[in-house]
Amino acid sequence: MSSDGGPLSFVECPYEILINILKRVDSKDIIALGLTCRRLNRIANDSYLWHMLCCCRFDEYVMKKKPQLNNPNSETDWKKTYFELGTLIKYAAPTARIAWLEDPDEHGLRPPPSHTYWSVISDPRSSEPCVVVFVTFDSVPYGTYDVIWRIIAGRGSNLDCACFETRVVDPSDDTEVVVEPIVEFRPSREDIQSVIDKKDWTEYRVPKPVVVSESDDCPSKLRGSSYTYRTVIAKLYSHDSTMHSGLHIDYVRLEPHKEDKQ
Amino acid sequence: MAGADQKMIRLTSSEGTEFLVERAVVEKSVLLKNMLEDVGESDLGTIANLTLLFFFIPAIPLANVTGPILTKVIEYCTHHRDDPVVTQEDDGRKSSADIDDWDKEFCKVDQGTLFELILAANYLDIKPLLDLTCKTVANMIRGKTPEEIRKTFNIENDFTPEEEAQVKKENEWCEER
Repeated sequence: MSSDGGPLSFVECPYEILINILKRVDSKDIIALGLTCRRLNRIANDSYLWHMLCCCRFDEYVMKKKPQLNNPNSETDWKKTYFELGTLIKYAAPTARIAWLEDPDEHGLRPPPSHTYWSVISDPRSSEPCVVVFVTFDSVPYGTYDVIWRIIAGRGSNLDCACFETRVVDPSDDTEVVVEPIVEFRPSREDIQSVIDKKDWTEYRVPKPVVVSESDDCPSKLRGSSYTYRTVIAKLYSHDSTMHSGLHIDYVRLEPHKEDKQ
Repeated sequence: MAGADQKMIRLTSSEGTEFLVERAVVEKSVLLKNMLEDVGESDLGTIANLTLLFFFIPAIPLANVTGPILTKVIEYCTHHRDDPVVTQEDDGRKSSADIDDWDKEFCKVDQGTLFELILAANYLDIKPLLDLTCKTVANMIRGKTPEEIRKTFNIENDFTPEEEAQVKKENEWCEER
């Protein structure tokens, strides 16, 4: 019963119950809830809630990178971190558009238990010897980014036959007009030496960064904001029939490019 | 002494209504399961001295749970009595759409009852019921505008116009993502 004897209402639920409910909805639903009344606004900005959402959505590996995103001297703003990470990391599974058939991995490499990931597996029933995986980053602010693929690549994956491609498109245009030169990178055997045959997930940084440049005439520019948003599509493909099973893709992320990294 | 029939447990709701429930069903509640294990059989026997009829049946008073809510909780626990115990932490990331038909029907109650059920599941520590009811509420929130959420849950907008404008402005940056 609520304090006035009437039936219990949503707003009157205890803190831990509201958190339990909110952790199950999307971030935009939490934002919407926060706009309804004072109490829910406090809950929707709760640091513990956003910390928990960060931990659920991004694994430990990514979370370790988090301090770079915030001022290390101040307390972490988890809500801000959540949206910053969300802009720059895409897990392959929910966005990839091709479903691969399950098939035992002949090279004995099994990804450690993690969240969902995509495995590239040769399909004996398909005559199409091609492999395409792509993920889309919406709302990418301008800047130069390294494209990083977190993968497990067995020897049989023949990654040196593949091409890493990144393109920047104008989100307001349905035809996906490319607004920057397409970045293509075909790794040599030496290039991918560091990621081949590792037992654990490994991040592969594509050596060619992608540039998202500022544009004044971008229709998606937000009022009063200094950001211009673009859509970045990262793609990994191979038309080589020798590309076999043993390539697993966890996520793709964009990291602001640093010159001195070379 | 009470060892003869430990299979039944008496639960007493806040108004004093008594429910006779199988121990296996009661033990769906982690709180009650631990309680039963902690007190042991002889202590339960003394509590049971209240009535002659249930002399050997232990009784547990639940001051926080009303009769109608306890009825629903027992209905849930009886239906799910043979479910395996889930130890994995439900992080909320799993799809909330995967509620089976019986559970969906079970949750077709008024909002007051639904929130009371959540509180009872939380208090009695019945994790699957807590997950189910919280999921149900989460499904009622998903994809709605602030105005639609207010309508759904009868929320009074207690912002001043200035505050509302301020809160909207603060959240503008996360909308497009």
